[in-house]
Amino acid sequence: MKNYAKVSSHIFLVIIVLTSSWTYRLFANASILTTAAILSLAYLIFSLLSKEKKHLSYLAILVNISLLLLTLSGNVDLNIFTTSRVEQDVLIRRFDNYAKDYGKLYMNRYGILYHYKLEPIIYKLEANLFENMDINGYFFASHPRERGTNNEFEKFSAFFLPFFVIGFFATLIYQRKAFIFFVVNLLLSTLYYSNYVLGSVLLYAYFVVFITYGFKICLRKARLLSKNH
Amino acid sequence: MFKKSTLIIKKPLVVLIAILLLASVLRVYKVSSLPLGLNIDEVSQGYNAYSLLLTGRDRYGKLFPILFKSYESFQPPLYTYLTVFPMFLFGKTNFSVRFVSITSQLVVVCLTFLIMEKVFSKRKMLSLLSAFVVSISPWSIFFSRYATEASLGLVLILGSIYFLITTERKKLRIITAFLLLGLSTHAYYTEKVVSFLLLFGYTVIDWKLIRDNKKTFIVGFFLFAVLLSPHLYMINKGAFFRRFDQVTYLDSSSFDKFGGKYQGDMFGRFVYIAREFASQYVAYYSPKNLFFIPDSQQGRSVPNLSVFYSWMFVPFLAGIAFLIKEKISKNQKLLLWTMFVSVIPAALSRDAFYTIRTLLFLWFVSLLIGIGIGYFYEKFNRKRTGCLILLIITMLSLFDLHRKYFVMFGYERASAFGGFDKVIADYIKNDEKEVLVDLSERDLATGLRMVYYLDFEPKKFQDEIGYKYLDNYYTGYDVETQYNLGNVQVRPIIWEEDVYKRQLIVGDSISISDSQVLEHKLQLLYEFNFFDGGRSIRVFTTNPLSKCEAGPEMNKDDDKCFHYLE
Repeated sequence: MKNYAKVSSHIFLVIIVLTSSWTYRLFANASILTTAAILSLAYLIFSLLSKEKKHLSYLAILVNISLLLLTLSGNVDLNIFTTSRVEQDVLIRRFDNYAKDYGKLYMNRYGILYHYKLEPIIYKLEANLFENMDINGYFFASHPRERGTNNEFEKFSAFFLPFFVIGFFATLIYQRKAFIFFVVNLLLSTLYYSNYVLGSVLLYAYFVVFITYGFKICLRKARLLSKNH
Repeated sequence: MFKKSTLIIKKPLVVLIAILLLASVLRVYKVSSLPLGLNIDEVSQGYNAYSLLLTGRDRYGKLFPILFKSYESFQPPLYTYLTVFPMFLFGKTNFSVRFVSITSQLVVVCLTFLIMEKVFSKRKMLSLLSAFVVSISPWSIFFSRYATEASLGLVLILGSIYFLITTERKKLRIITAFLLLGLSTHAYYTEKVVSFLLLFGYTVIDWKLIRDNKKTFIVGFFLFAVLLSPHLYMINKGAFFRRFDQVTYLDSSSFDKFGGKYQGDMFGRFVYIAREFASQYVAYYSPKNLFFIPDSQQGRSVPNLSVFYSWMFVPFLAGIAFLIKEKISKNQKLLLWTMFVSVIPAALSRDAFYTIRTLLFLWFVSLLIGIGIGYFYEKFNRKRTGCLILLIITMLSLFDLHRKYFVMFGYERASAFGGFDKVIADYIKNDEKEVLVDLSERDLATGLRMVYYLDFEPKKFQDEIGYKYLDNYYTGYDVETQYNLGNVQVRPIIWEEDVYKRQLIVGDSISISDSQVLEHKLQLLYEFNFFDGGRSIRVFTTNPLSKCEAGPEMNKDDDKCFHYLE
């Protein structure tokens, strides 16, 4: 029985990988090494969920770090640390408005530093973080709030969405280690350009795993139900 | 998961009063001037309420409308009828127009406490935390501070839920619950759908209770049906489905326009509708929309601030995780059912993340955040430090809210709320000169705002403008575009005539371009600017003499110039 669940979830994992347009984008645009790292990370994290072994964890961390190094160069969102002319105009106008209301509370060295340097960086990091967490971005090509660029694509079929939700929360509750891995990658993804042609590659493996894990749980529940009946 | 002892609080009522005080301050502070003007819906409700107070009829002269005709659509009636009371008490002010909204959202804070107290029985901390989250959440504050039927709809639905979950001992409460549910369908459009879905869920979840108290439920259902009867009267008239027709993607024209790759497929329309619904539904749960990117409508959002603060995402996740692990009670099932169905009306419309249609859902998200904070508080060993951390985060959030709403919103969104019309009306109010305002091409409500702020009498409005729309009140969608209000006219400029009369002309750079200023010898008197980096409004005085003397196209024999050149 156990083998049945194991085999079917492995088959499902393969189906997700093969039916995802994200996979083909990786093959088309990323190096073989990067693609291999991403796919093996997906398999490692998935294995980690069913069998917690130390060497698997270490291997997953190693592959994850390699993936980070492979993809980081050239894809870092440099806009985070710079402000364009238009952004500068908005910042100046807003600062003037704040200054009218807050006076010296805002017009001091720290206020200026926060307003012109710190806040734009925090805002852009947050923007990238929430962009990477946008469910519609993965299952509906960002519809209905498209960003109006050519890089919007439906990464997974919307049919997998219920499995993703189940798998995500099941990981959050029962698989803390894998979830921490995901959170770390999510935070690191904020450094990437959010409209990066490959999407948030660091999260590919985790999305595939969440969907598969959700499917596995549903399968288990369905078998339990049929047994009881 | 929660240890009951750590979540018991000794004086919950004192804490609740403190939360209510904070909520009141955040909702009432500067509410007459922020938002500065009245948006299109507010001014329609406000002037109709004023008209009802003085004449017993709406601005078109209709006696007790079932739906209020408003521009190309119709407004549910309850908010306008209730606004008559604050109009009577406080006069015709922005505060009066917003009074029902403010009160509704304050009652929502109380109901949050009461509902959560019932659902999580002895863990009063969770009730207080949820009420606290509602009180400081940007969505609740924002929608309190402008007149919206959605706030009234929310409080009526929550009232109904409260009475539904407390019927076990007091059976008669069921009648109150059904009455409130029926009333909610007259408060806002989404409640027409949600009330039925809530009723269905309740019937399934609490079937045993219904079976044991048949008589009471039959009376309840009967009263509910009686309250729905006005809708039946309206169902064949265009007004009933007008709003739905304006916003839905279910019609074939929407498929023809946006169907894209699905056009031509055998089941293309079905797939298009299914995908549209799923994506719209999911968008309301997306962390990006809930915690970061605001509603794209300028008049329905705060710049750079979504409906919740971004840090709230963490307790939100914790709250969901807690509910998954918890053994779900009957009342919790009803709440969860209502949460899932509360998004359906909004997901059936093509507007992306249209927050005003999902206030009930946002309320549920607030509960999850409250539960999540409770979870962290319980996990944290040092309770006092936990309180201190929450206090610091709250202070920072409120400071952020102050910057973004009370300052930035004031400047950047003033024009979205018709702030320009308010200042123009104040500027020309005591001037006896002829004035021509040309702004209604960009904002349909400019004319009515002038009517409202210039204290134009409702009876006069009914007799001079409103009567034209009375015959096809519920079936016509035509809009009043020109207003003749004594010495003030609101209409597009007729350049061949208007510059030859001595008058003030008010317009933006689209209605009066710089080249037209030169060509027609207009003299700038004043310029209004909200420092939003966009629109500015200018007041000019015409100069017929110069125009007649200098214009290259001038014809001195023309009647228009004869008077000046003589």
